[in-house]
Amino acid sequence: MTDRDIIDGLMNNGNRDHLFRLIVDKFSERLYWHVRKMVVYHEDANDILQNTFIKAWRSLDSFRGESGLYTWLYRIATNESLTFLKRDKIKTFFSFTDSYKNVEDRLNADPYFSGDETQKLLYKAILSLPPKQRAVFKMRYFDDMKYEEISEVLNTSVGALKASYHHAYQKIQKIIEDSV
Amino acid sequence: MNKDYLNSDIKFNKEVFKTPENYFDNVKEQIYAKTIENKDGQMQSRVALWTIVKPQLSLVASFAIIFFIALFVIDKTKEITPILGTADTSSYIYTIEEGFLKTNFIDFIDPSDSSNYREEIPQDQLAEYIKDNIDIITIALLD
Repeated sequence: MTDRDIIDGLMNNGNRDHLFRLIVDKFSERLYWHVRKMVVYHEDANDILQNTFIKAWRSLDSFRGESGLYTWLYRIATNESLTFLKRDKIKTFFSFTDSYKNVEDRLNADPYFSGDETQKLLYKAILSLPPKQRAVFKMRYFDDMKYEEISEVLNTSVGALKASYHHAYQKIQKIIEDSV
Repeated sequence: MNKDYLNSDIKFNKEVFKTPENYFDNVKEQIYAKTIENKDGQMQSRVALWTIVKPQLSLVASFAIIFFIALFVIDKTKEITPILGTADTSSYIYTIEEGFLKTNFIDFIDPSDSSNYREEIPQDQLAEYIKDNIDIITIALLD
């Protein structure tokens, strides 16, 4: 079944349960990797993915099919990830602990991360970025998305995104440079 | 020129991240359970902001309580100190307010008066005066 068929089914009061199963089946893995690259840790990605589909399920009736199914879900997942990252930032701030050390410890102990030392260094640097900057970096660097596409997802001007990506790139470059 | 690490050495590949075995099958079942099979669609339990800030707020509240207790104690000490330091003055003011002045025979003696006033001073009053003012008398004698 194509995306168009699913959308038509939703618009024409088709079997919601069946159509939603198709949506989950079709997009969960792609969305998981999108979220995972944003938040890095599996447990966090798992929570966000589930929340994304719960939100999608709740707002299924308001989906008008103006955008593609994946675009719609991608936006929800991105927003959920950003909300999570912001909350995580507040939590870290109030815990009065060394956030970089926390990241390092958690990454070292993560059984679902198998990167070598250089990749570990890259992810530690990425985890030090502010939430929105991290999202921009991830979409541009890893997903090769165009600024115009990122602009639609994050609802931010192309100019601001370019500046944000530049800052993120320089910051990560510096962290790696200092550590190598 | 600095090396561009991000464009040379580090290449992202999905294998950096792993998932638990059969994760995608399991997560789909979990999503169905929380959506299609549970029409309420309860959200994943999240750590509420209150839970995050509660320990820190308790700490801040403790400091605030200690601060106010200290402030209260300091204020009380300030109130007590002048009373202790000016006990005589207070008693003097109190006496005036009552319409009396604590006087002594010496207050009525005029040294320029050549009359034989010493005879008029009762012995007990003189003894009491010397006893109460021995320090002043000693200094005066030294002068």
